[in-house]
Amino acid sequence: MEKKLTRREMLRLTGTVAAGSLLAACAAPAPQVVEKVVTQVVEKEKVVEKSVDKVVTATPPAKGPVTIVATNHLDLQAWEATAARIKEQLPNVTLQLVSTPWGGGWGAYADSVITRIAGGEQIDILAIGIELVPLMTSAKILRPLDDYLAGDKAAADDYANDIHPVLWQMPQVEGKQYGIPYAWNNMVIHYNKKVFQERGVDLPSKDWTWEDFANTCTKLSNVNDNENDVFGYHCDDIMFMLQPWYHSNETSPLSADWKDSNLTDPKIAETLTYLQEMIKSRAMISPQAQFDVWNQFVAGHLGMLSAGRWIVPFFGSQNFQDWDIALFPKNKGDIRSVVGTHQHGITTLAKAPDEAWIVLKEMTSAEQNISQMDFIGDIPARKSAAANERFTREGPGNVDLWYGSLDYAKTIPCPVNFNIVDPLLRRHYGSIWNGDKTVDQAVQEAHAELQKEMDALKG
Amino acid sequence: MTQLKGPIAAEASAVGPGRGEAGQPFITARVQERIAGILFVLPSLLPLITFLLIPILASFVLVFADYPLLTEPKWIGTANLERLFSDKRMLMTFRNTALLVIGTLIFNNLLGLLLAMAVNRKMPRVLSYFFRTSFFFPFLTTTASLAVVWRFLLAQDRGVLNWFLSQIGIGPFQWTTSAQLALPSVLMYDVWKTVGFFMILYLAGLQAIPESLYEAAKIDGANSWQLTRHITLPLLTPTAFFCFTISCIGAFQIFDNAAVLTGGGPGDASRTVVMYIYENAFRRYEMGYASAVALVLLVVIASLTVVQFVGSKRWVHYE
Repeated sequence: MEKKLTRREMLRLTGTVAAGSLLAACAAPAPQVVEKVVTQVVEKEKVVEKSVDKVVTATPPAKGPVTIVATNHLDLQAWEATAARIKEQLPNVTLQLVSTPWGGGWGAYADSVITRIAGGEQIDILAIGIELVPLMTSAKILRPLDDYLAGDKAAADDYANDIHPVLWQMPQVEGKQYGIPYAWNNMVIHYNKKVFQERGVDLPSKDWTWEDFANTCTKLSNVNDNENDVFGYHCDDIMFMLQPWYHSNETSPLSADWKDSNLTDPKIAETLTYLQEMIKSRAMISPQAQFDVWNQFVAGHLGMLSAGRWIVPFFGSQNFQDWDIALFPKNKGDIRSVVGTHQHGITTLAKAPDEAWIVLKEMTSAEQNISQMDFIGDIPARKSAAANERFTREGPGNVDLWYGSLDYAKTIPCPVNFNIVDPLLRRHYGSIWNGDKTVDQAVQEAHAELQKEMDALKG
Repeated sequence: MTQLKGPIAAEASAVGPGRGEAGQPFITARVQERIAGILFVLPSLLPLITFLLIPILASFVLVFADYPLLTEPKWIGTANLERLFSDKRMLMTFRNTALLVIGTLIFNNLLGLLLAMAVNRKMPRVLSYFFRTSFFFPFLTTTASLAVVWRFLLAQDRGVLNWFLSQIGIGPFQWTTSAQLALPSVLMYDVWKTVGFFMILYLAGLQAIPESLYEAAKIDGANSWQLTRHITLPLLTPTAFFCFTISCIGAFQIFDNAAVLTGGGPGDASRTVVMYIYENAFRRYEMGYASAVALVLLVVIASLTVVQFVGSKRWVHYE
């Protein structure tokens, strides 16, 4: 039978093992107990008046000076204008913005944030990628924002009018809103127009198919293992980047409710075989190969690559303009991209959630959406910001496809154990790409392992 | 008041005014010396206790808990230890690590010794310093940044090594993406990076051998091989023993080399034990199980080190 062990008990045990009260006395104080904080917050929420047409006061407004700590992955300069606006509205609030390094992607970002939360550090407003929302809500780190939205009609209307419903619904768990999107990404095919021209290949059409894509890859590639090599296509195999291929074949590694493995669906093997064949013929670079993708694309050694808009600032820095974007080719159905949002949420650790709500609104405002463009390449969550000249001037020709892809895209599967599922799948993909295992063999092994992980969630 | 005489008086006067009612000093000079010693050690001891000893002890406790970081730890008895026995991935990572230990042990020591003997030969001082610095330089540079460079050197497509090999009609090879070559690639990188350090250690060992021994042996008619076999190698055994020990411990802890170069892939083909511990602790947030694997690693390293120390009595010669 499982017995709950508090952190304090654990530390006490540790101290005992350390053989002596002296050593135990040296132990650091126990980290803040998250569950206790959650209980307090829930109790406070009971007194919320839902029909008030202004900011709801879940807790009495802070009388004294309040410090609100907000963290995300952007450079601090991206927040200067917003911080000034917040200061005007909340003179008694000290806003502490913390830029959490994002070098290793959302995974590394999550490592940093989660260990800080576990260590009892104050984080009132937290930016996270959509993949981590279920994990954070299941651990009761994020608090629902529905009461604030219900009590702040102006804000709710603003969001409803300016944020696409697909984006808005993504940070919802069991019908509750746990975050406000401030940016998002899709996946599209970027193609180097000059390479297409040099190799005499037609540019992608709007309705191109898998067959068209494979033919295009073959025609683009010219590989002789020398300095003039041109490869057709590169795609990474993290879940977000591979998902459009599954979507375009009307399948997904996980079931629709994200609770079971769906790897035994023959369309999964079909998708992987399709990619494997292109890798075998060297028309496509292996997803796990060490290849300087961005530079090789700009240098004309790669015809197409899969990426979101995050690559655009790099193209700008290289003064590279000879490229455009297209939706993924279709095989079955019309879904040809994937969506993942970044959102700000208020944590259950927040001591002044009302003030945090005001800060959150500014951090997700249209003004902030525009001013952050100098610091990230992601697509702004606000339609108005995506229509802004500051955004559209960076192109490419099909610039409307950035926000427009939402009509062809589906959200990335986000199970609570996303942090386990994604690397698990990648481990098995690796042996497909390098030919160590057949697709069927690797898929069967991956399915067995994945289903075990999904079953573990069901208790 | 009683007049103190003899050694007690001397000790009391050294202590100063601190005296009890009976005239006994509160703190003797010896105790005072001990306190001073502790106070001197404390600044380095406290961080060691806080950041090393307590976490190590905490991990012993965590072995028996399910602790996903964001919620309270739960006591689950020996479940984590039982899981170890059926964890094929852990066995694979131990296999990979063992191969790296053997590989680094052989190549770091063999090449380190050969390089040391080479740079120990008589040559212009400038040249000697140049070679020493060149071989040692990779060791001074951060592993992660060098591994990124190596990633591009070893890339299958448009990689530098494959390009050179293609000039003589060999390859291309999947250096980092094939299950057969990924681990040897990690080993190759690790040896390239650390062999300079072992070269310096062996060089110090070589230069500590008294020249008079060689001169005496030469007078007795010993040839070069006999000098090496009967003087150099026996007197280098203390250095070799030190090198073997730290080479083993270092190889068991390989993390960043493999993490940056291959990411542990393909599959688990180049994943090391420490990478697996990290994955469980900070990707899966299973601190309890990560602690259990870490405990196994600790036992393995400690056992091997004890074996090395015991075995050293048979082959290490001290002057």
